[in-house]
Order: sequence, then C-alpha cells, then structure tokens
Amino acid sequence: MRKLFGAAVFVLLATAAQAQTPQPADWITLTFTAELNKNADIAWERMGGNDWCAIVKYLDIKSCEVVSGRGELGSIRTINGTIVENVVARTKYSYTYAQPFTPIFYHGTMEVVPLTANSSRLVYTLIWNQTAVGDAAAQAAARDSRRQRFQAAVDKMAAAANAP
Amino acid sequence: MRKMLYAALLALATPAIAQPAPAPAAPASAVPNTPKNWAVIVMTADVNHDADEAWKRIGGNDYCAFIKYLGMNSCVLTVGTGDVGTNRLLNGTINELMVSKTGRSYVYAQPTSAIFYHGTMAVEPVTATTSRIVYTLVYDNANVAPEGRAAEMDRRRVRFQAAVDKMAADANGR
Repeated sequence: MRKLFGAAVFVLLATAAQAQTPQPADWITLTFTAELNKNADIAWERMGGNDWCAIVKYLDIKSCEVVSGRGELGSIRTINGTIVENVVARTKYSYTYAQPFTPIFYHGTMEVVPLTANSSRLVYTLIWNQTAVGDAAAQAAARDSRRQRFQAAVDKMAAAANAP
Repeated sequence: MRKMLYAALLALATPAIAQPAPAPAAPASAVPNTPKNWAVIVMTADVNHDADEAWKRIGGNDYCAFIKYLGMNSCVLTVGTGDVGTNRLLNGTINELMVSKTGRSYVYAQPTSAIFYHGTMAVEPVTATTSRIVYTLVYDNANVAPEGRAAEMDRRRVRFQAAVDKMAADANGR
C-alpha cells in the first residue's frame, strides 16, 4: 500500500506540474470586425452562432465534427480530425472556445454586438501564447496566417449575414 | 492508509494545487493528449436593475473588483488595463488571463493550471428593468477520483454562489 500511495502521489504531482502553456508567456491578440445590416438576432442565426460547427463554412478548414454538445458550455468539436476545441464561455450572442491539447493556450471568441434595431457588429477575437510557437519568424508567420485566414472568414460571415 | 490515499488524492485536486510553478519553454508537443472530464458549474442571481446598471454596480469593468466578493486578499493587474490579454495576479500566486470580453461579460483562464480552469462573469438582460448575474466555471476534473467529483464541484459551487449572492446584494442595494 505504501508503494501504491507513493505512486499515486507521484503521478498526480507530475500531472499537476504540467503547465498548459510555456512561461513566460507572450500573448498576442487579434481582433476582426465587420458591420452587419441586420439586427443581432438575425445576424447571429445567419452566421451560424447556434451551430457549433458552422465555422467550417467560413474558415479554410476541411472538416468539423461535433464530438459532444450543441454549442453549450463544455461542448466539444474536432477540427480537421485533429484539433480539439471546447466551449468555455457562452452568452446569447457569443461563444468562446479553447484548445485543451495545444501548448499555445489558444482561445477564440465569436460575438455579435447589437447596435440598432437593424444593425449589429461581428467581433471575432483570437488570443494565444507566442512563446510556444517558435522563433520570431515563426511567430510572425503564425500571426500573418491567422490574420489573413480569419479576416477572410469574418468577411464571409458578414456576407452571409448581410445577404438580402 | 486507504483513507490517507484518498485524502492525498483529494488534496492534490484542490485549486491551490492547480497553480503549479511556471514551466520552462516547451516544444509544440508538450501538452499531453490525456483524458479530460469537463466539469461545468453555473451560478446565477437575479438583479432588480437593467443589465447595464447591474454590470456597472458589480464592477464588471474592473477586472479586479470581484475579489471583494470572493474574499481574496489582493489582485494586481500585471499586464494590460482590462481588455483581452490583461493578466491579474490573485493573492500573489494565481495568474488569470482575460481571454474574452463582451459588453457585459468577461472570460478568464489560468494559463499555468493543469486543470484548464476557466471562469466567466456575465450579466444577462431579462427585462428592461431586471437582469441576471451568470457566473460559470469550466475545468477538467479528470484528476479527481470519480467518487470525489461531486463533492469537489460542490465546494466550488458553494464558494462562488456565495460570491454571486454578494454581487447581487450590492447590485440590488440603494
């Protein structure tokens, strides 16, 4: 029993010592916005805010599989068969997802901000830890790639929301 | 000895142990694809003011305001001023990064926590003159023995519901 106790403590201490992301962190935040000519209710629905895998229509990814849930807290999806994302926050017009198995502590939020009775704004934010990405060149490449890909996705979402 | 073992397991699963020392830089494959068990806890309280007013009264725009409700000793902003990317240091030991923000909510995460701990404070509109505080926690409790998970979640629920009740009392006062 003494050996069992020691092994259990060792395993749990080892688990607890596994940081999610390297420190010191170098956080980078990207924010994308687009104006919408529909109110928040309509825009949220049209862009797939209530569809946990709607992102596959807008972002250049090959697949999105719902593993569990429908977008509520704790829901899990798999992107391109390899990247696991779970919902860590949710409001009426927003959700925030995270990647539990990547070392960059990646988080994304899709939100529609109500403005008037017939207009709203799409706000998409990303934050991750550049320390885990590599050297300066790799970090810049990651930033530029995401900036380009997500701006394109946000533009497509806006087009879907603004369609007659 | 068995009791001692279980006590050790539970103790290791407490929030205090979920704040390991910062790890050295790691390669891209450093995070193990270990089994997860996502715990979700939702706490609410009704407020007799509209959502904007309630958010203001509970200090929603001050990333350190909530410590008075949770009985913490200190909160220092070490990076940022309250936007996404701001880091607060709680009690000198716990780092919490703001990973998302909306008009009446923010989401924080603990980047060095082994349990992938996330919390959200939000105020949702109910009517033109009423609203609801919604505080949620999402984290991985796979490292807690299955028979201990309900109790572990209850401890957090009790502590945070008390904080939410204090927030509501502040919002409903005056």
